[in-house]
Amino acid sequence: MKLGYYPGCSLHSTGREFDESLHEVCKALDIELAELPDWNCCGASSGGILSHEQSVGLSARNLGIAAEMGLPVLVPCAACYNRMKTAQVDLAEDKTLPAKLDVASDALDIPVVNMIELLDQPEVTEKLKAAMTDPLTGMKPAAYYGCLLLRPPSAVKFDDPEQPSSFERVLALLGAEPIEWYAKTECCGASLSATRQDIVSHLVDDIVARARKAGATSLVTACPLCQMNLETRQTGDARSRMPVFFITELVGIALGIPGPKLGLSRHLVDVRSAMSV
Amino acid sequence: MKVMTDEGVVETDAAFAKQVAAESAQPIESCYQCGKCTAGCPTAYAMDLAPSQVMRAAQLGLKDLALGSSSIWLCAGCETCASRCPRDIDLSRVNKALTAICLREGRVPKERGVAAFHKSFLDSVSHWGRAHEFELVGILKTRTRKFFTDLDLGLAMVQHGKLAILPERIKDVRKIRKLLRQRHPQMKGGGATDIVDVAEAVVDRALDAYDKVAKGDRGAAK
Repeated sequence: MKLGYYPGCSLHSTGREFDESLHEVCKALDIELAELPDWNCCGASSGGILSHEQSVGLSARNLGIAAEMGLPVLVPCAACYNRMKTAQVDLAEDKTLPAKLDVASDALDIPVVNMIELLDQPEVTEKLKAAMTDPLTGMKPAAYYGCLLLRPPSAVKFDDPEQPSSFERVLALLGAEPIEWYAKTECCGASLSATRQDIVSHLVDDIVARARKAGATSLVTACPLCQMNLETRQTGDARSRMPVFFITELVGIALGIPGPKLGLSRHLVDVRSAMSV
Repeated sequence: MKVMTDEGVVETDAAFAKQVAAESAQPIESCYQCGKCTAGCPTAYAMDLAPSQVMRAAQLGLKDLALGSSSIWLCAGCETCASRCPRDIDLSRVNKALTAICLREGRVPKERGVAAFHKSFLDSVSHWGRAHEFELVGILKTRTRKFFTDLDLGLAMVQHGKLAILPERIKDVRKIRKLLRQRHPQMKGGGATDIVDVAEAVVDRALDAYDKVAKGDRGAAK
């Protein structure tokens, strides 16, 4: 399997362990990744702050590059994924936009997939089952989808926006026991983390408390900003903070890939407590 | 039309309502105030106007009320409202349109820090084509003058190799800069509301001049 790869800015900085573990996992599963040449930032939640056209324009350029490659694109970051999918819808709806932003029409049909979606595909699931050496037996993670992978359903829609289940399916396949809980699609506060730490801590503490109450010992995300907010905005005693994994790290552990290669030592909240169950 | 608000009797502005509807591409006139957006909004507790009140203000054309609220900035863009709205309105798109109008008209944002973050983010992207967090934090701190917030976090991120000191610059950065360019000219009076805006405008002009010279050179070589 060969895919185009759009890492986005975060996977080269604050979410480096997502990038590192993703590459290791794809290598082990025989998925070839070709990074989009000269890709640009998607604008995330700031792109539309002055005009919607700017936001669409940023993703349109990336879609154009992907169309030239002619491959489906893997977009692991939830914000990038959301921006790219939304841009496809906007470019299709507003007929004047593609010409204005100089995008080829085939860019609108390029399949854009996120990491959970990829891991949940039958072809990948089979490979994963065959290659697994260290199942996560006894581990009780809480699958945290966050917002942008699921909403708005008019644009993204890879799973049910209110009651998604694909993330849990992937975790169960790895041998873990994902807990059932009710904050899996709640918002972490996103970029408000830079200036309104109070709001983000309020939201994050609530999410962590609900995961803990449901019996979870760790959180798992597929978004670099969710991961950072959940990990760094928990308040209270530093030693009692809940570890927050990226989905690809858990897949890597189950595939027997050594921790340092997966970037596990980069976490600001030590993840070892949640692994030795 | 005149309506009664907390500030007394206010004249509505139908043109503003139309502008918001057009810019957000949302049928704001069809909102029937069920309040579902407010019920599901994670940040509503911190807002001065409830999300459904922002909708009402936009719908009636209560321009100062809508553009002056903290709510349009505290919307995290999580799209919970959009996925639940029975009238298929994407309220986060409406909020984005309101913040855009607020900035372009040179109004002072109610949440100055949040606005400063978004502006700083786009500044960084326009410099390199990708966001450079280290620089972004620097610009943001210059704007907000909160130099000591999260210093410990920043240090921990650097120690764990999660905050790159050097930026990644893309080859086609000019195209990105051109796309994001509107941020200065469209704002009233050049849009310079703080020291960073002034610096950005100077850098923009210098880069423009450089582009012109560089293009001339290439033309001559051909």
